[in-house]
Amino acid sequence: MSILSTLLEPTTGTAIIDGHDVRHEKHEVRSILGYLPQDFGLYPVLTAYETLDYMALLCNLSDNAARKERIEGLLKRMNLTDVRDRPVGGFSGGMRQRVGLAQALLNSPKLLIVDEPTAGLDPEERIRVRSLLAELAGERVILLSTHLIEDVQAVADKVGILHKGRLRYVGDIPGMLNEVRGKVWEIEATPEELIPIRGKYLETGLTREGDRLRIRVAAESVDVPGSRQVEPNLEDAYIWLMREERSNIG
Amino acid sequence: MDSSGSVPTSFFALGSMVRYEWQIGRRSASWRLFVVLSLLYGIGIGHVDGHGAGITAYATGDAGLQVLSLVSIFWMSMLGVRETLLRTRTLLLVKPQPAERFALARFVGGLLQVFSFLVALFVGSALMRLFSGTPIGLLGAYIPQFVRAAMSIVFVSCASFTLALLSDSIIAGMLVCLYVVMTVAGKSWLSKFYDPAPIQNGSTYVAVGIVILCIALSLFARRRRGAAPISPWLAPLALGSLLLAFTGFYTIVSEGHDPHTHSSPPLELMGSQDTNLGVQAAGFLLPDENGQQLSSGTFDGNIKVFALWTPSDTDSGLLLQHLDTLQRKYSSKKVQVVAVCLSTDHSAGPTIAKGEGLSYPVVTDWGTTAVPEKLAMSPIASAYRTTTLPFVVVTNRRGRVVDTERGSSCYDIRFLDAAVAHQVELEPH
Repeated sequence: MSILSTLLEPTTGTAIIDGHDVRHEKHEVRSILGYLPQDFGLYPVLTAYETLDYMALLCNLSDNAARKERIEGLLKRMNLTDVRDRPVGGFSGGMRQRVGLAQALLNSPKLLIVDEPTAGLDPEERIRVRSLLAELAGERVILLSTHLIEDVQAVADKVGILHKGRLRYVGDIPGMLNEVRGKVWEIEATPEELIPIRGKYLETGLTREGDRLRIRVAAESVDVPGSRQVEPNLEDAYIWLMREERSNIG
Repeated sequence: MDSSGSVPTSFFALGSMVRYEWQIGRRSASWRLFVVLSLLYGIGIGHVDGHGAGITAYATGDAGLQVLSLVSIFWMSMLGVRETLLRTRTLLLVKPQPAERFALARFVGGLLQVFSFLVALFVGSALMRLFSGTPIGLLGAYIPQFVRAAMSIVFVSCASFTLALLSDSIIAGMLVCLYVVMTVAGKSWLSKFYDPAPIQNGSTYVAVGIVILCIALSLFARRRRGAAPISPWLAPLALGSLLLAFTGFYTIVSEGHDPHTHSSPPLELMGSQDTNLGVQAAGFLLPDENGQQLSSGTFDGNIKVFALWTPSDTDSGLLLQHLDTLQRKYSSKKVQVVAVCLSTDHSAGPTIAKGEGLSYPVVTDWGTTAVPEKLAMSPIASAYRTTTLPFVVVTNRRGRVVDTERGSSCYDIRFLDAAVAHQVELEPH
């Protein structure tokens, strides 16, 4: 993320964004890029409008009227118009995230990079931010980094799974599900049986039903009585793709 | 949007960015606190009975230099690491603006904030003088002292901001405090050119500050620039300031009088005189409050009262007022008072002479150094062989020393009046 957003110099190799090399054409890349980092701060004493105006100046939006129009449009789109004149220091996490998203869109970027945009948000705000991203994806390429499967399911056309710096999977969501199709099982067990099952299979989920447990595992085959094959979901696929190669599980 | 393909060089955004930087600081509680404290401090300095505006103006300048310099170092150090503290750094660096431009905007915004503390200090002091009945015309004495303090603050601000910005550490920025402490504590053994406080050194230190700031702007987030060239105004600004700084230091050293670096032959000659009771008073040729060279021989034929004093003596205002009373009382009898200001700062004498509305000239012994021994302090002190300040010499109409007063007796107008009255009686006009 940092290399793509020109914040970090790659030690080897490079990346090309819309024909521009991130190593040598940083200014050009920044001009077509919007970036919402996972961990960011805002100037607490500035209002939402002032924050965006200041960021717009940094984006070289020189025309006052055009800048104002752009900011007003983004405030409306992010549902921040009512709080435009309130200092952002008093904003909730979700509102701050929407201001962050608005600042990333000031220069109408061709590529929008968002890093964990829904982390730490309450469910309502998470849905709101996710919907915004889905809406924005129609106009530009969005690179979304997340650990939340629901975010991926809601907005992603194409998924890449990174594990220790290496791509484990690149493709669409049906393809990701196909990776694990036929390998997901549901086992009914007592709490006492849980430990041996965990030691033997890759657990992807667990639910309790009275005294019984319903354990979801990913494996080529399962030799536990009462187990049955089920349709995979994205969490199953994610855990399957992220499994350690040298593990004897599964 | 600028999409020229190269780093934009126009300054269209700088003014607006500075405006936001100013707003970010101005709306903080700490800014308000420092403004109020500066105002109260200024009121405290200005609230002194019996003075015009000169003494308080000079004291306000000193307070600005000593206290607000330290405040500025702290403020600018905080500003240097602000983006890290607020976690806004990533949002800024990913924008297309050149890093040097938003670092410059941040610096200028911060400088305006610390200048606002200085303004509050001076406004507080000047207002108290007005309330005390000082004529508004005398408040002009505050201007050179404001300039003196402001130049020093520019220097320390540049240095502390640079260190904090480049190292991303407040402690690094605060190291500039050591320089300030060194120049205050080491006045007696350091060469005068190390001290940014005297007004004659101020412009040189501003140039040094700009050079330091240019280094910060060049090196800040250097890798972020990639293959893009550095802003074209930066190199000429740095080189021009460097040239000015070198020229300034050369001038200070070569045209100054400082036992550590270079002695001025005329001042050496002046200091080699030996004045005692009954002998000819030591002559001098020194600049007065208007910058005109004034010779001791200018008032030949008068009974002369030469008063050696230093503005670091807090009671010197009392002496100057007594001398003013004497000058007004005896001017018709051809008595001339000349005050000789012993200060390393060349603005002290003019500020106090004009601000106090004195009726006699005040010359500055520009060879003064800050050594504790008064005899070695300045050429004129050496010529009069005085080990105590203030020191008042009364001469007859032929220029021979007929009486001297030193130390606390100078603060009692009866002694001074008696000495002059006696001589007037002996040599009536």
